[in-house]
Order: sequence, then structure tokens, then C-alpha cells
Amino acid sequence: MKTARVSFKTILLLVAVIILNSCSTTAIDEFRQGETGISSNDKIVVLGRRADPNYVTSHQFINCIREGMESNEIPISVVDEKEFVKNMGGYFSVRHAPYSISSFRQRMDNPHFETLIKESGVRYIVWIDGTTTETDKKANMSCSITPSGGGCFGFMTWEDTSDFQTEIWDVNNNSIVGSISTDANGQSYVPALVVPLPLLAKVESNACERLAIQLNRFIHGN
Amino acid sequence: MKPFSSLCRFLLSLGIVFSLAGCGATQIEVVGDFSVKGAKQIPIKAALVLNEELRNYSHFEYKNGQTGNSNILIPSGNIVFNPGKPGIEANIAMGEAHREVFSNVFGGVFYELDEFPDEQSIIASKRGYDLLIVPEIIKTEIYIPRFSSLPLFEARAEYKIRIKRIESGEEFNWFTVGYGASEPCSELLCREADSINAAAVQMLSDLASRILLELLENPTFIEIAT
Repeated sequence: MKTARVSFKTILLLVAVIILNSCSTTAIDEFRQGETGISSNDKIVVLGRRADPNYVTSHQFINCIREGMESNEIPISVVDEKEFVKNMGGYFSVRHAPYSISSFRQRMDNPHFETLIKESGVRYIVWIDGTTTETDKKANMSCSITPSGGGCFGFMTWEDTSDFQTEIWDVNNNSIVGSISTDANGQSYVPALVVPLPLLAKVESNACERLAIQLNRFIHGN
Repeated sequence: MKPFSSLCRFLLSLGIVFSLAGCGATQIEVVGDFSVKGAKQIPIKAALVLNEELRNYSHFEYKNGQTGNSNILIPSGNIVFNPGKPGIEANIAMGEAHREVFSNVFGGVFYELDEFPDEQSIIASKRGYDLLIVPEIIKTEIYIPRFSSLPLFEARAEYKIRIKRIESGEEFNWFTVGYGASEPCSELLCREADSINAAAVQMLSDLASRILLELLENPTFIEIAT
């Protein structure tokens, strides 16, 4: 009977984990402004905009996008962000990067900059700007330790919201070819009965997965 | 029941260990990739002086002895401390990282670059150089969210770089800053030290890009160097 009860509890827990892990929604909006297409020799680079003093577009998210695009059914060759910035002689540092297409066009008048861009082999520059924030945090948990043992009791919950704006530049035409807006949110829970059990909604990773797929389709011209 | 309470005790012990691990002073050595590519090259020989004060530079954050909560920023790198002194919140060693940045940046710019610990060594080497470069760290600041109330980890620094044309004696001082920010830890077991390191690395990358794009375009520098 004990074994059967433990199995039933384990099943319930697994079901709860599965349900709660899928408790995040992602919405993607795409706006196309020009034709796209990419050959097998061309590359793209995905960069995080980091000019805002209140947040930085996380390197982890940018790497996630790169890995998602490279492992797609029809993969695209993506230059690593840090390698690209390093190879560009300071022109894409946080302070000096051309964050608008007009400043990029101005920079392309500089022969040194133009040479570095051509040598990089990059056809499209993808700028991603945004972050994931925690809101609506409700916590009612207390933990204690006594000589005979200890534990935590209570409950914590919060909402994660991811908001990312993506802009795609065509380096050959010095133009913006499209933009993609990604909004995702989800609810995380941490019930504690002696041991806290985090049931976290994978908001940012879901946003990354969907955006990587959308970007791939967009760059291929679909 | 027994296996379950053993599991509880084990998990609680782990929790205590991790908590205590965060109670000691934070010792960080800033480590990053500071290699430089794509710099515009200048066909001259330069001597770079990286003195002991710069090479051994550390930024210290002190606990306020009275409250134990706030930090006193040490505004200058000229103060020498003994590591392990009571009341130190963080010791951030940046000397080697600075040495790497200056060496890589100026090494990428000039056809030939040699490093020296002081200016006397340059004279003793009896090698002819066109330019002398002496960087100096004036001030560093580190902002940690739980003390500063800012949303990000931030690192800032001010620098003076003295540049001298050896033949003519003509020289000028170029002042610049470096700034870097990194997001707070979002993962379960990430360390504050990693975020401080990321901000300091970003600060040094900013310094490198300012040298490449602002110093090299400075009219006085162009006049002295070419």
C-alpha cells in the first residue's frame, strides 16, 4: 500500500510539473520591409543592444538564439557575438556600435569599417533589444532549523515577462528588411513542504526557441 | 519516513554550506578575452610603460564598520592594503587585466611595441623608439545592486595616458573613462563575483574601443604619432 501511495504522489507531482512547465505563452509579430534570402556561404550575426542604463540584453539569450538558428532544420551560419565584436576593431563596442541604420550607413562611408564588415562575411545583422523581468511576486515562506531537523513551509509565486524587439539589417543594401516583436510570459511557483520545490515557467527559453525559428524563416525569405 | 528526513538534513546542510560560502570577503581576479583585431595600424615603434602600481592594481570595497551594510568606495588605486584585512567586502584584482588590454591594444596598433616596467628601463635598453606611452589608472568604482540600488552591476574607471614623441620631447595627456555593466544573477547558483567580473570585463573592452576609435582619431595624437 505504501509503495502504491508513493507512486500515486510521484505521478501527481510529475503531472503538476508538466502542466506548470507549459504555463507560458509566447506571441510573435513580424513586419517585413524587404526581400531576404541567404546562400550557404553567407553568415549572419546576432547582437544584443546594450545602450539602456536600466538593463542589458543578456548574452545568454543571444547565444540561445544563435544555437537555435544553427540547429534548425535548414541551419544558418551565425557568427558568435563576442567574436564579431572583437574582430570589428572597437566599432561594435557598447559605446560605439551603430544602433540605427542611419549611423550604420554613415559608418560604411569609412573605408576601414567597410573593409572589416566585408571581411566578416556577414550578410545580415540582427539586433535584439529586450530583457526578462519578474513581476507580481507574492511570497509567504518561512524556513527554520532546529537540532532535530528543519525545513521550509509556504508558497512563492511570480510572473516572468519577456519582451524582445528584433531588427534585421541587410548589409548589402544598408537597409532594414524587417522587424520581429516577441512577447512571452509565464507564472512560476515554489511550494515548500519541508523542501522548496521550484516549478519555474521557462519563459525566456520559450521566447528564444520561437524567435530563433521565426528568424530562420524570415532570413530564408519565408 | 527515515530516508525522507535524511534527504531533508542533507539538503539543509547543502543550503548552510552555500550560505556560509557567501559570507566571506569576495576575492576576484578580473579575467576575460582582451585580444584585439581589426585595429588601424601605425608604422612606428612604441615603448609601453606598465609600472608596478598598474600591474598590481586592486580595487577594494570596504564594509562600513558601524552598520555592516553599506560600502565605502576607495577612490584611488594608490592606497596599498594587506589582503585579508578585516572589514574588506571585496578585493577585485584588475592589474593583470589592465596590462593585457594596454598591451593588446597598443600592440595591435603599432608595428612594433615593447613593454617596460619604468621609463629608466627604456633608456637602459638603448633601443630607439618613436613614441612613449604611459597609462595610469586614476580611479575605479564598482556598483553592486544590493548596495547601490542600481538595477545592474556596474564598473567604471578613469584613466590618463601620457604620450610622448621621444625625439622631439613633445607630449600630451589623454584622459578617458571605461564603463561596463552586467545583469544581476538570474540563475539559481550564480555568484555575485561572476557579475562583477562581467562588468569589469565590459569596462575594459570599453576602454580598448575608446583607445582604438577616439585616441587614434585625436588630432594631437595624430600630430605626435605621425
